[in-house]
Amino acid sequence: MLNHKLSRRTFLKATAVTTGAMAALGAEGLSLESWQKAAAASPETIVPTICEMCGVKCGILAYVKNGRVVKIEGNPKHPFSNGRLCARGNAGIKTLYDPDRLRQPLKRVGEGKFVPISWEKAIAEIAAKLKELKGKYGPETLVWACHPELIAPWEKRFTEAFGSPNFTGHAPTCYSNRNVAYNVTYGTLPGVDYGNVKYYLSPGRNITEGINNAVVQKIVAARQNGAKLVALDPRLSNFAAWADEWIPLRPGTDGAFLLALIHVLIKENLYDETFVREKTVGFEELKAEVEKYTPEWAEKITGIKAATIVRIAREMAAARPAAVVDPAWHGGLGGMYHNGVQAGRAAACLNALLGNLGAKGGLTFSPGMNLAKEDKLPGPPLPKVTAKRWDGAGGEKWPLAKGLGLIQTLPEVVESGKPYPVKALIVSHMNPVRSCPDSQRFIATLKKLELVVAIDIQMSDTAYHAHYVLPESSYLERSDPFEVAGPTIALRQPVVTPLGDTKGEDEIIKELAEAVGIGEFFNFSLKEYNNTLLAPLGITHEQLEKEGVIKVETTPPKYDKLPTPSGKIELASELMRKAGGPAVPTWEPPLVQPDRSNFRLLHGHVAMHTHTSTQNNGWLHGLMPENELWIHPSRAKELGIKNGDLVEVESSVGRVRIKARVTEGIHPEAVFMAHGFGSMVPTQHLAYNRGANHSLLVPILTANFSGAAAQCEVLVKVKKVG
Amino acid sequence: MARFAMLVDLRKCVGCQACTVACQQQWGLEPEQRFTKVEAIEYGEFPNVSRKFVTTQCMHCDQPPCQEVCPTGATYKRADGIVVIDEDKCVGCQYCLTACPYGARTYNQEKGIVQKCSFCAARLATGKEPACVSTCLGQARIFGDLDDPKSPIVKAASQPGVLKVKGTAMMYIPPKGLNRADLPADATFPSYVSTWKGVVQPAGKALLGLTTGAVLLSLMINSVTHGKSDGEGEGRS
Repeated sequence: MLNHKLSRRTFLKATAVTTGAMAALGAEGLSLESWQKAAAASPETIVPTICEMCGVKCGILAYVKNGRVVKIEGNPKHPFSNGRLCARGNAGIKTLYDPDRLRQPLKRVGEGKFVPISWEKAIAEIAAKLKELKGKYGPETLVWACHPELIAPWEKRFTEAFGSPNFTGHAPTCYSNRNVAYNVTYGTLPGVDYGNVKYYLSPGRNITEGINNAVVQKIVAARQNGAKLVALDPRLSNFAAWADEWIPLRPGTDGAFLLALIHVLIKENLYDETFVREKTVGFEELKAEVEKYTPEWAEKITGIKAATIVRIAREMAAARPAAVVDPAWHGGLGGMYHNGVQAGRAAACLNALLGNLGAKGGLTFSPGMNLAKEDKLPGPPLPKVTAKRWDGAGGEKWPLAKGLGLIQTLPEVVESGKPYPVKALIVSHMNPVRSCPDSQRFIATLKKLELVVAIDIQMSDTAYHAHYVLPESSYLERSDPFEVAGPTIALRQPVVTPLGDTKGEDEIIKELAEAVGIGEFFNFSLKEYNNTLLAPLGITHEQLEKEGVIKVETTPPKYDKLPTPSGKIELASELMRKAGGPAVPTWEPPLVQPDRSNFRLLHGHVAMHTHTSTQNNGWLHGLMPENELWIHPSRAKELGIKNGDLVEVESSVGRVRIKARVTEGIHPEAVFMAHGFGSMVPTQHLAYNRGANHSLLVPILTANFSGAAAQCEVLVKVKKVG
Repeated sequence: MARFAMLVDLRKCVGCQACTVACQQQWGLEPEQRFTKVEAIEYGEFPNVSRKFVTTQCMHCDQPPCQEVCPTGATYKRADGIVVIDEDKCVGCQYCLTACPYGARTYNQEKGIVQKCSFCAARLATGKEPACVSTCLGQARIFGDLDDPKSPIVKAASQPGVLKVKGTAMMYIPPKGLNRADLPADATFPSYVSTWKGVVQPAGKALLGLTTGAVLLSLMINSVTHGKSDGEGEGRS
């Protein structure tokens, strides 16, 4: 007969991944002596730290036993998690203990071929190459690209100390349209008081799948308290499905829908007149512009009935000032279109007409916090960087894209050598081969560079084409600069010792800085950095190690004078006018239009994955191993496609194969696939070649004014395979 | 004595799968093992389409068929209502897997045993809520002791719109538009389980050995449950 009694060996195996060994014992008495002994000999410790399964950075509590993390829970003291975690946060252990993780520095010796190299040698070789390239082409030949995480200030500091202005983030593949739209209207980017909204209109923000933990918690509570939630989306996302109303508009027409709402608010005199008079400029210009944007006009463009548009406008007006259009990530679905800034502007102006800035349930600014500046750090002041940026962000051509960058234009710059030769790229926490449009073109670009260094915890598609891969310790193995989370300061700290020969990025940057001769600008430890900047708050890194999260004093946000040229909300924007754009939001059709022979390709997030970083996580992979192509039954029928069929999707730049999901939940003119699948790295054993990489299909198109990558301006043909 | 129960307010469920993974993490499950699942059900035609979420798990039946068919007594219902598996006694025959009308049991290949939701009995013993409850972003899950007036479940269960799944420890508040047939069905004690208990199990033990018995039972139960289980508890997507 089988013997299933737990031996010590199996116990240790079990506890290696979980506290679940207790399950074997029931709750009516622990019967296994060996378990009791082992448990007694190895007490559980709880370490407060910060999650990095996505970019939100929720506070967590890590339970450690026998030197291994056995459980991760939300930290009840942290305002982003409130003790709760999403699927990805709950799956952190599987990323930490992923057998495919990078464990040592690697040097590329051929296509897909790497050999181990020591840290010392890797740093020395990279530094020598950087110095050589700096001598040949000037320091601006270096671009440092990242998804800005807690270490980002150090990355920027390194780039500037090296003499390059080219520190660049992921904004154009995410929020550039939104940021530009709100910057020119409000002077900054407002947040939303989600917990108190009474009427919430989401222009394409899939709030329950592109998850921000705290926001989900608040919006569920708001709905429970009677708020009405409305989703504008060509696809029945999980948010659209859960919301009170789904408005399945034609893709790329959010701007038209929002402009018609503005038309109704003004025409029916439903807007907040006092607020508009006192807090805004340019109302008459806006009014004149939207005169033509009638609900009937919008019906023809959006496919949504004029009566629905009128009703939504009236409902929003009745709920103001606790009625809000979410600035969202993409400033409206339009954010991924060429017309994205206009859609974002329409949303920004609509919010202003609702008079919701600073109101309960409206738009909010962050509270102020008294942190020291980096000039208080030991060492000389940073040299002034004089070179112009590689991508023109903030310059003559892209004045409004300052601080946002145009990472997707790297191929154009490298191919043309203009404005100057970019020869070196350091990439951290980012996988531009799949997060930027046109993966193949990006890979070809990486091959043209003389030095590519990837800093990551796993072999990303970008790292796979790097000359050097520097393995970072995972979020459970390292510390980082402190986090500002609402009115609190939180700390990421090591929970276990690194499993491999990995380092925190602070160490990597310090060593690299030393080796290229700019060590004097990193003449401090991570602890000293944190303590210097936190000093005015009267708290220390050491306190944070113990407490994890500390509430600090903040100053309430000011709404009386905004950082715009007029100091008010600019319905007619001076900055837009200066940049050569229309001062008031204007309808601009999407750049490309599908016909009966093709579809517009849409993409988006799912709740159980983060970008391209979690597909090799066992639990998350188990929940969703691959993406599917959503296609409407009427279109699928014409093409002879049944649910589950393998189909080929082809655009002007690429072709992928993917399984079809025939569903009523998508606009017939569009197809959709979730982002993040189709890993092209064979050593990612779970993720490799599962599902399709949508970036292979998207051409590089840059939106006006913001420099955003217009990733939904892509037409595809779909056919059944075999 | 406590009488544990769970209520899932599906109006607050956003389908995010946090509960699914929190549970897998808590119990160190294999990726294909899920003690609790979130099912999505679509109704209608474009543009009048809806999708509803339903969570499923062990229902902790009043009269658990899994307990009846278990040849070793590994599965048993505790006095507080929780149906648990003593993993020491489980021989991995999987009779219970087919007997469960809700498809709530999983087989752990590596350990060779059957596992399922225990309402996190071991966590309860340390004063914690079940992992799915404490992680739920929408606070859709309420757990507690129906016999304790201070327990949150008592108040939650008295709300309007609560649907108790009869013969089980589970309750739901369905969102508008969700068909009752898409929630787990009320528990009925399947007649084949009595047959098994009275005839096949002793015969199997005596004559055929457990493995053959399992095959026979599986065949028999499959033939009975097919055609009847659609739309109940499992099998939706």
